[in-house]
Amino acid sequence: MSHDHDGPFHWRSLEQLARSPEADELLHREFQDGADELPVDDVSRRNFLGLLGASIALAGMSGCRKPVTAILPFAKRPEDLVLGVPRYYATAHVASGYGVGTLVKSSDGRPTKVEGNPLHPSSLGRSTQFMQAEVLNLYDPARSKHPRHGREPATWAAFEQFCKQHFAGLTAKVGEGLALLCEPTSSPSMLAMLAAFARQFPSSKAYYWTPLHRDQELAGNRAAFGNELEAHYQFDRAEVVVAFDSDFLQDQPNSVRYARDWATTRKIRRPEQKLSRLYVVEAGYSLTGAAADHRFRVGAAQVTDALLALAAELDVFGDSPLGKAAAAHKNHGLQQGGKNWVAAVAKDLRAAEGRCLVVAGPRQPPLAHALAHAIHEKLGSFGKTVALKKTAEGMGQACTASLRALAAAIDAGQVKTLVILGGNPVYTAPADLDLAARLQKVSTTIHLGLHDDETGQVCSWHLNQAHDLEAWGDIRSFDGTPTIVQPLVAPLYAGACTPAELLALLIDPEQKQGTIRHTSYAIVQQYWQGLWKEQFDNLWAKSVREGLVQDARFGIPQTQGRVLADKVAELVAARTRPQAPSSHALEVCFLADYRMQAGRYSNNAWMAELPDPLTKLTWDNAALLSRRTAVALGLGNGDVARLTLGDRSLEIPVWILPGHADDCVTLPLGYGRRLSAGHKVAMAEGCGGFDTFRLRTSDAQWLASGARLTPAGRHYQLVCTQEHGSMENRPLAREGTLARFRQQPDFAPEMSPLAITARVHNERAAAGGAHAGHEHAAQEKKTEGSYLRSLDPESDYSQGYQWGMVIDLNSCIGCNACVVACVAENNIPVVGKKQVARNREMHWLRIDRYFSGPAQRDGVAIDAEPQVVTQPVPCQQCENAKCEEVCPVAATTHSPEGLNDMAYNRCVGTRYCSNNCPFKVRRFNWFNFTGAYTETEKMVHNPDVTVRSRGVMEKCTYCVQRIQGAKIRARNDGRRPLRDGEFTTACAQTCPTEAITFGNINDAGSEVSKLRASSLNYAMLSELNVKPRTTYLARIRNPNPELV
Amino acid sequence: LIINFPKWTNRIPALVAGGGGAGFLFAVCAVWYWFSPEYTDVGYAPEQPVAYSHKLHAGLLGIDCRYCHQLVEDGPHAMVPTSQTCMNCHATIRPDSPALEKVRAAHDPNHKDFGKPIRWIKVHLLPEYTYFDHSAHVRVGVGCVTCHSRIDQMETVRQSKPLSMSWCLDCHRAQDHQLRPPDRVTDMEYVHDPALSLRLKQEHGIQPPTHCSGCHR
Repeated sequence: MSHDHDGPFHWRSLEQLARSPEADELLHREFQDGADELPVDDVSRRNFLGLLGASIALAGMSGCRKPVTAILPFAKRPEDLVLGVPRYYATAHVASGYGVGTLVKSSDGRPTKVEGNPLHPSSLGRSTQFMQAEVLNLYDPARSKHPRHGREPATWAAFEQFCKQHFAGLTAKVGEGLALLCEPTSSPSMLAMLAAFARQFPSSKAYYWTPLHRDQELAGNRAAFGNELEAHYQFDRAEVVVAFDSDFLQDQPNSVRYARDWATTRKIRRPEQKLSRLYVVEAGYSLTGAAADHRFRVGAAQVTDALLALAAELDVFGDSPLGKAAAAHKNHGLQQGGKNWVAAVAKDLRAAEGRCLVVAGPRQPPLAHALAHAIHEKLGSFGKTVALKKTAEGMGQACTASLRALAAAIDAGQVKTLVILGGNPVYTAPADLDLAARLQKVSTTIHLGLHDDETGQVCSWHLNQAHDLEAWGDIRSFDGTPTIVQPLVAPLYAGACTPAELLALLIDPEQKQGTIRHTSYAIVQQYWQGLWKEQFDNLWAKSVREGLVQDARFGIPQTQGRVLADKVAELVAARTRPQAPSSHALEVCFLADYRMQAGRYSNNAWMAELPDPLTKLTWDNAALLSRRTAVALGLGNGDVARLTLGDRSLEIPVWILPGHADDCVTLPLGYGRRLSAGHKVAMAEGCGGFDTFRLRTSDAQWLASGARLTPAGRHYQLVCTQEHGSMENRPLAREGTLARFRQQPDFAPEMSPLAITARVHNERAAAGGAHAGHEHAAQEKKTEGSYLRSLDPESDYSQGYQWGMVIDLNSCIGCNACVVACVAENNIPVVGKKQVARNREMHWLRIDRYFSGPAQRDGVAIDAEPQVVTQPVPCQQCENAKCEEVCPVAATTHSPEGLNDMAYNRCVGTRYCSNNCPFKVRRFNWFNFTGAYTETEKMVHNPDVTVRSRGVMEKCTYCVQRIQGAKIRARNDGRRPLRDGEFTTACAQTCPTEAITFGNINDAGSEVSKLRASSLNYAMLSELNVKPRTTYLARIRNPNPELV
Repeated sequence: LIINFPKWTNRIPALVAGGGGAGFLFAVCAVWYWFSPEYTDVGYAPEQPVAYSHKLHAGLLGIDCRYCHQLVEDGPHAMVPTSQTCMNCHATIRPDSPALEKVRAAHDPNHKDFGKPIRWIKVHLLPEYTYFDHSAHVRVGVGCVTCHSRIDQMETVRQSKPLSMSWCLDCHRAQDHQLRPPDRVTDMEYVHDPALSLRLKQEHGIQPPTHCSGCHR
């Protein structure tokens, strides 16, 4: 583990840092122990040999003749449908009540891939890991397929019959005892339907709940502005951003756009360019923290203290007595060094007046949000970097209060019939409300859901819900733009309906208006017909085609707002400072998980196998804490501990996350489900994580204090991919500061060992030359290239298309969206926890996460406050590919376009190529992982990519199916050459920050060529003369000189 | 005890060597021939659910291939015609022919099989890991006859080319790639003109892929 380059020292895990013998062993091994053994626990050896025999016998009988396959043509072909050519439809991905515009690929009628809609302001063609995984949620074989009444399967006809009696009676009683529990939504037609429901049943009540609510932010905005306003941040205009426990790159309804806008201020190509600066104050390590120039590690409750100190430093409270009292908080509760940075950050913000942002996260109390806006006002950000708009209709609900009101109403016996429209409140509701028990007190409970889940199980009726890709609807994106949600496929399971359709049925159970009026299509059309009147036909067609309603009248206009300084000061005065945490009274932070969200993706195998961006854990969650706290409590990675919070407790394994605040535990939500056995992913044996919702109470939704962790004396196997595929401590992820970049623009390529050797040689030659006269001084200067010779003749790649990729480490936020996009595009199998533990994960694109930092700073250990750099690593498509040299059957060869091709059918599985690959990007199919897919799951496969079987090596192909498809399209379209940007790889298309650029490096005008010409461009392991086609732009940090 | 081998046993090693050699040669040739698509696949002519005659329609009546195989220039699949395509003509021509019963059923709203596809048997079957695109070939001037032979003379469609990888590559690697003017791709009588083919190749910059990912993805 030498460290001889002059960049920061990077480490992957604490074990590596501590140089434990196990970690060293792991690093040096190509495959882990037992990687080539059969998993005896899955298929016994005898069983397996039996199967093998049978398949040989069958193969012998059927080998000579190809299988007889049928062609089933349409009886009548839909107009314009070209078989085998995918079509794209604009729709929206709906999450937490807001939509993000998407384009969904339909492969011969099956939705197979989600992309962002380039026309839509919420995505601008970009997407997230969640949007990518949504297609697998659609094809989840465990989805609810039919209604259920009591314990027995029922039919929709039976439910309609029940409705006629039950709801006709309720109509007579004007809805007395009727309640709805919905997820807050901005869907205009759904809100109209809710209003119609309220008219039909005037005495009914509607309650709202979503686990990832923004209650505190909404309350803070209300307090600051005196009315319902939302702040819309314009990160592309901000030069200084300070995030207080805010993961705005991930956890905001508008995060796709925010991440992209923020990244535009981080893309640097030339030293003279400007770079924005990001400060993050947080307890756990978030992706935004990983992207920060300065990350200040404080306790979760101290975040507001820090914000208060900053506000006081910026003098936002004015001269009123309240303001003066508030200003006294200036020096409150910050650890040593804290005051320093408050002054420095304040100075930086002042210098960027009107071009700065202060963002508080949803976990922080209303005060924090109000303070952030007070700072915005003081620094003139409103109208410049912050636009104010009215909260979208339907989205101003205070969820926790609403659910408390429902619990009270149930206790008071006021609820006789409860209709739960989507969501899974029994699993996600605050533990103290004990919704499961309370629902038993309601005589009729009706649950509409995608799964017959925890909530369905305790309801008298469960109804199967239609997925968003199966029904019509509409939704607003966070900026207010309405989008028509159009289906890509008819409901897979008959009768599945949307919340709006169910409401329509409940309003008119006799179906006097005819069943057709109840379809989601009719409901949405009816709503927009009412608005558009005679222009309806044109506008509807245009809006559906483009995927958004481009008409400012139906959006949300910008308004003005003033921060009520006195109100903010009042909040400050009313604040009681929380107790400082200790190892016996820990703070608890709940985290909207980067993979499961709040359980929406629990049964999604792609998401379960995705390594967490920071911990790199797969298939489970764990209680995250700092090493100091873990050592103080006598816990290590994977040790199970009993976490007691108030009178609730939970046994959960712990995991040490470097950089986590001390005396604080982060609990990711969305695991530990209690579902039927059909949910093969969520309920898989030995994984699935732990239900942290059980500790989340209504008065401590995001932050809690006074928790105790006691070792339970057990160990739980947590599987983490961070040690897999390591490449020793070579300068792989390169980074420098802006100052260094300005001083030495080519510092990144110069970090290569051979470049260092050349430099030393040149220096010596110069010194020697000066000494011995001028004879040697004229000697040729050495460069890295002068040492590199290939033994094999090198191919000429100067003609035609030559594909290359540049990954900008400066804007990569490590969010995993590219990884899921790659899985979806390339039919990459999921292998399960046991196989991941044996290094058998199949991801073609992995994201390496390195920690870095000085060995000691102010006496604090290296792992306490490390920085993070993330580096996506796909196949590097080396021009001198080492894998090709060792393949005995020429299954991997080079294409004239510079691609390292892999012919699956020629591969015999020697795995020599993987052994010889210096980047460790080749993946081997140890088993027939795709063999057990059900027919429904198979529908998710991309028909343009071979589904691989056992014994075959595979790896990133630069999405060669897209390259060939684009070339054929261009040729059919008048024999023209491909235009730059006409198509791109799945990862590049998805990346929310546009960090990945793909194109033809032979075209000097292409974006990828321009990036390759940047002085930040470097190739990993260039000293091996492998000539990778994938290169990287080094990460540039922009630290505040006053804080260095 | 002395065993006297008869003299003829001296010939055993030679016989074994000769026989073994011949056997080995035979095995090689046998695999070469009987295991190749040339033997296994060429000549495959399954009976189809509807006794459609290309000889009659494409040959005698001279209907252009693209009347039925409409997508051949636009996408990877040439497309087997819909029953509606058949009924365009057969609504008036031989409307009561018993051979057309299944087609009529799929087209008749009152029939139980209305809208159901006819199960044609695939004749030209490529492995699933091979991605062949009709439009890419037809648009540059590879004639139908090049891969499918004289369909216009076949009563029942039969596979007459091996469609093996080496057979594909023979053409991809050839000097002129068997090209013809794109407006004559469906012409069954077209006589190959190597000089014109070469000119077309140069004019349009046609470089058929010979690397793996050209066809395997």
